[in-house]
Amino acid sequence: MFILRRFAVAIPTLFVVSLLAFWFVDLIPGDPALHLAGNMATEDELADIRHHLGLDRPPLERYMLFLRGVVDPEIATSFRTSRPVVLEITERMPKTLIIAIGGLVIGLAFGVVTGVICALRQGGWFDAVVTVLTLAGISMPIYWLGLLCIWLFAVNLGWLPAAGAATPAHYVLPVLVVATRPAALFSRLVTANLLEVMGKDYLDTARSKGLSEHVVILRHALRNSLIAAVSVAGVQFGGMLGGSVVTETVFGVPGLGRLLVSAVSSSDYPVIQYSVLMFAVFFVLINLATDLLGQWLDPRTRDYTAA
Amino acid sequence: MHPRLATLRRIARAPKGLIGLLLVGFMMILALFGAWLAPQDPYAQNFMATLQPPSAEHWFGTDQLGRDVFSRILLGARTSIGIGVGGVAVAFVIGVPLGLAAAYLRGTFDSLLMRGVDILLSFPDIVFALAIVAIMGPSTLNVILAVGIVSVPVFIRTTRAVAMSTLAEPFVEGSVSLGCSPLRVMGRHVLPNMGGILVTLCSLLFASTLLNASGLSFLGLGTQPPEPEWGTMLGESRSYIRTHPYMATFPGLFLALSALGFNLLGEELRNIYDPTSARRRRGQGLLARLLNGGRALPVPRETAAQARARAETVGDAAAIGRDLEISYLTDKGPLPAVRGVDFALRRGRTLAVVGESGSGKSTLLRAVATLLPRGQALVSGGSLRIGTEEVSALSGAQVQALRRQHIGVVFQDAASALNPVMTVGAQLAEAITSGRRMSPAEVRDRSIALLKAVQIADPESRLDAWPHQFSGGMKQRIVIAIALAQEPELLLADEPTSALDVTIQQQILTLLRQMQKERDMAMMLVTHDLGLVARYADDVAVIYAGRIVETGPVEEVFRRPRHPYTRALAASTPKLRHGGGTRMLPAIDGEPPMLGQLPPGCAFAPRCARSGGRAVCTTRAPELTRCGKADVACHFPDETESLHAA
Amino acid sequence: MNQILSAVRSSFRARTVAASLLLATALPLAAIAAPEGELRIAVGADATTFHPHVNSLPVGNTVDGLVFQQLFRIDADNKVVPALATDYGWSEDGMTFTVSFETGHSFTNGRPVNAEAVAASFNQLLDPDSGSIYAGLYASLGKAEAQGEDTVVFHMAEPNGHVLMLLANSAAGIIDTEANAEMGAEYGRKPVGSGPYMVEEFIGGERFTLVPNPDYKGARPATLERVTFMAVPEDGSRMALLETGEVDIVDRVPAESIPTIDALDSASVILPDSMFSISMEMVLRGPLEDKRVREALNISIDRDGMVQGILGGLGTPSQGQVGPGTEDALRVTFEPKPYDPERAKALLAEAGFGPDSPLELRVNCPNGRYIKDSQVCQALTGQWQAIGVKATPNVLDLPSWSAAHQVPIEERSYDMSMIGRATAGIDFTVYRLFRSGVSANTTGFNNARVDSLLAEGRATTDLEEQKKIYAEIQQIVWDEMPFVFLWYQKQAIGIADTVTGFTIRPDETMLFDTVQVSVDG
Repeated sequence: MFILRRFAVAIPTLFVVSLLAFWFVDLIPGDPALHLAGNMATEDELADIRHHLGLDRPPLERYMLFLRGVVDPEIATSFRTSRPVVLEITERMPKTLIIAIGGLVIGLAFGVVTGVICALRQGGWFDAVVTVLTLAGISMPIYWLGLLCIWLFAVNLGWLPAAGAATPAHYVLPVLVVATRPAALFSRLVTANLLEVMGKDYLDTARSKGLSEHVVILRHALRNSLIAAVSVAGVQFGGMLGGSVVTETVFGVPGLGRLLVSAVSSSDYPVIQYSVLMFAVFFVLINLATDLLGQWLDPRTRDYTAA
Repeated sequence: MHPRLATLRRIARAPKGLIGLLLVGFMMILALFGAWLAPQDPYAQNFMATLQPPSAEHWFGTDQLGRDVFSRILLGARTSIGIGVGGVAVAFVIGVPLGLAAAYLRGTFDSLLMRGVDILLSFPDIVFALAIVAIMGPSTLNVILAVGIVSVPVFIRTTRAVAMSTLAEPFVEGSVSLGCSPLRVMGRHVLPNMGGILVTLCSLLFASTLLNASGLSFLGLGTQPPEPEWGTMLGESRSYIRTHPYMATFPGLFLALSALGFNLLGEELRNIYDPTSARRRRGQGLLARLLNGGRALPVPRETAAQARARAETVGDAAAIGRDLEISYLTDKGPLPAVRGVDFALRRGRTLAVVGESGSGKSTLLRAVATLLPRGQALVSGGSLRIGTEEVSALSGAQVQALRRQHIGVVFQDAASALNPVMTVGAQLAEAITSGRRMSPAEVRDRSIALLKAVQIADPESRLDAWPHQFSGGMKQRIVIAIALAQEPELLLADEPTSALDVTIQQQILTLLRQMQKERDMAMMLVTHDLGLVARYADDVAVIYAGRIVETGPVEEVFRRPRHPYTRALAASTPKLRHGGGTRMLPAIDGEPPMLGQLPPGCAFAPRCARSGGRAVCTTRAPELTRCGKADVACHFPDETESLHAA
Repeated sequence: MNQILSAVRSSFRARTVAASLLLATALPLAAIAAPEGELRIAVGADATTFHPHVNSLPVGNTVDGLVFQQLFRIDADNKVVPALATDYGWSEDGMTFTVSFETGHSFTNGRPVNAEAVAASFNQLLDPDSGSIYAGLYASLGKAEAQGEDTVVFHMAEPNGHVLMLLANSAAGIIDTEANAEMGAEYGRKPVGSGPYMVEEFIGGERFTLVPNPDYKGARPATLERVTFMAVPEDGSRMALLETGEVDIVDRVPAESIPTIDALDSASVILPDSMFSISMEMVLRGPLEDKRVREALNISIDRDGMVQGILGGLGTPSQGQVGPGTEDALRVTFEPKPYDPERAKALLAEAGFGPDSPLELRVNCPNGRYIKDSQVCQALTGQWQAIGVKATPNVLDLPSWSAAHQVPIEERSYDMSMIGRATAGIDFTVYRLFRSGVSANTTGFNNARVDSLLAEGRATTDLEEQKKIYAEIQQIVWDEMPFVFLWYQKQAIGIADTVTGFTIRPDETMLFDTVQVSVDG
């Protein structure tokens, strides 16, 4: 019921996104026909191509076609490849998801573990090392880290392939590189939240039950301190999907980010429009998942959101 | 001193903060004056000297166009720092007010705003930035706008989430219902509560904003050449990463150092504005760690005196303290809060510990509960025995077993003593199963029995409920049930009713007393409410400035109070012996002494009407001595004094 | 071969060309052996489609050259040679062009490559509604008609002396229109052709593989068991693949990586010419209408210095607008423009520009389109500033850079823009760049003599006459300097030592006719 209602609420959002996405492509400079025909084409040739692409139709008609394309993949085709956009997207989505989810999970795991240790050992050497590492993690451009990793692990040590997406081994470096930023972010968030939670009475209640300090921290303190981290994780995940382009370029992984950026640079309107729409749907789902997770973690929010 | 200067001094005192402050200051100077400091023309090309390694002439070498990298770094500071600071400022200025407004107004505004955030986030950063650059043309200002707007949703969501939870706190709800203006509520209650997280967020976003900008440069959308900017310089030099590594080193280093500086500064600011984190951090100083010896619990090694005390313990006592000293760890060393205290908690009897705030009564209770805050306080002298065990000699696991089977604790505020994110049943089950194996059915039966015992109706269905679904009194009953889970001999109640209203107070205390009698437990009841002492306790210990000044059976102490402090208390509550209603601890002239600033001699002397300036009172501290059925710590226990009108 | 071709061209009645004989001499014996070995190639660009009518990328040209057969083709020496064609000729009025070709070939689905199939393929290429982006370029071919089993007749829309060049381009690959209709857009990924290889697998944006076509009976049989292409846009990552031995060939080696690769024991870099001719195309208005100003700008830049210092040697200073390999039979070259800043200053002064009234120039450059483009932009403006020109570089993202050229001349917000031109065929190149009123003519160049020469050059099919005409056009352009001519790019290809027989044409199309990979390197 709650989930259904959330979807109902999402529909106007998606409608606005579809309008924006549609209107948006016109703002990006560049002529799809010119991209197809190259810079030597004549005006007549360009006009023919525009006609073939349906760009000479009135905007309202184009928008209606765009909406129809959501349910009819045959009319939603890429300008560059003429294939249905849904095929182009589904072909690339798993790669982006593997890297984004893998990076988020590893980053979250590393961030939580180090965050907890840092909170318990404030001012110790571990705290210092993690602080330096996380700072390095968030101050290093991804493409730099990526290139250095390729140089070290692929070229010098020969442990992993340098680029591509053919085998699981190809995903190790991109996932680890992508994980650096969430790892750094979560490490700090968890440390900060945990320090706040550590003063709460219910931890003493738990201790008075005779629980070990590990159980007290893991079962009682951590869960409370994760509530804020979860909402950040949702935002992060959305950002990782969108920001995947740099990693995908460096590691030669054909994912959504690269699809989108090459579509932008070659004015492949349908791919841009439907990708943005898909990102919006994704985001609605992530939001829902974040909220459900947050409610699972924090029962106090249930009554409010369900009311 | 000006408060801001004071903050600066506090930052500078911590090494991390000092480094952060210096780095940020350095970067700011570069940003403001870098253009004038540049030794060479940052734009001048020289094809005869491209890709030179660092030398005396070109400190940081030259780039692919033969330009002086050092000069470009200096000039680039303005743009780079500008992008970082500007981007965060854009996000902050837009995001925080919107987030606050959403949390305060809720309803339509909130849902519309959150939909807007959804829409904003649906457009991937790169596309968004591309659109901004496309519409307005590529320039540094537009890059700032682009990277700033990309971070707005993070600020809105965080601010909204924190503000909502703060607004739900009772004290804030109170001021809202009293009609305080929204701005005042925000300024007084909400913003101070989120200061820490906002500062952390800003410092983290500063670095990521710089990186986003350099990501834009990677795609050819950032600050456009020949304008120097660290991110762009780094991006341009990436194809030289192998052959001319020094080209990227310097912009990378400056980028990382500025990120580092802002992060360290942000962290220190958080410590200052967020009292919980600051206290903990200091508590875990070198001294604390030395004193702890890395052990799980802050218990010092047994001394010879303690061993002796251990040998002469009394048989039926559930807990005995001898010459107990409990200290807080401060920057200036351990500070005793409880000094030379002797007490015994006997099965079947309740000892009430009475005193003003800060007298050390709760500290004493926590020590007996083995729950002194780790790294902040410890038993620094004397002996504490629980059952037959000397606490200081126990290992961490033994202490846990002790807590499980021998000690039950009821806390002051039931609302915060229950974990909000676990069901009541789970928290109860945890207490029941701790240290032993039981089948789920057994656990359930036991839980229900416990809830019944504390008089909670319909316990079967209540097990799956969450703490926030119970009233304050019910929560305290659950806390009591948890305390009783493994049939302890010792029940410790720390002002168990101060957060409850009067009728509920009576019920809870009656329940506690009943439980104590039924199960033949020893109970320690810490309170500042004398009315309760008369009705619910067998013995009383009056504590002042960390010492017991008078102790004995309740009737004896209240009928014939001998210590001037006790007398003042008793006299100011005339109906005490009739036991009607509750009586708060009466006001006595003068202030209780500050911890660590105790007067020499008797700590009560400055407020004592009886002392009359006698030398012994201000030079020698009185020992507890037997007077009738009670023990009194006064040089002149049998005198009376003319009391001030009470 | 050129002699044979010119002989053929010189007479209107066709003379039979012994195509099989010709090809037999060009073919090494090794190619007859069974295909063996796998060749792995990492390229910088994502292939989008292999449909010859839609493809515009060099990597697509490479694949189309292997997957499809053509009537004519461009060989490794960059000359137009007959492929399937056995005989061809024009009618008297130049309005009918007839080609006979070798039969007995079939598409991989078994359909024969007969006159009907060839005519259908060309008619689809000529139909803009099919999505063909080359319909305009090939429009002069008019309509194709099958004649018997082995002859196709083009009913020309207008006479065109450059038909062979058009037919030799990869866009003229013979597709199976029926299979295309059945498969729709998938045809662009797994095209059904009749060439020596076929596409086995295509994973969008990641890689695609070619395997030998077992039914191929032509003169260029596959030499490799498998060819795998990977798309890796980031230069550093692509180079790492060659270093680790994960691929055998990488394209677009950045200049600064050449020493690293050459230092490897297992690979080295070759630097073939590229057809890409890079120039600053001026907007001919205001001060730039003055030829002295244009000359001053042309002679005040140190091309050799920039080629060595910035491009890392990946260029050759321009010797004419038309790049190498753009139909060598008609291309002429000149002395590169000198580097003479003093004379440039004098010319500027003569044109009325001095310290008090400096010439102002807004210089547009793309970022990441041509070799070191944004750096060249900064270097150029630096050198013009040195002769007193107030030149400001304006480095743009690709869409904005490209959009700027579409604005009418009067409304342009810049004075010159860096553009690279690479087009097969002289006629195509100079007609579109220098004919007045053509939209690819970004400068507004308008020269009556050039316009009439361009018309003449199209009308004639006589090679000698064409040579004269196009030489004059190129001379005029070189003298009038509507562009600041910079250089021709060079390609830089990293090749493992195990690979032999690899060639790449100036149009960046790779040829695998004789490639072999030795297993032990």
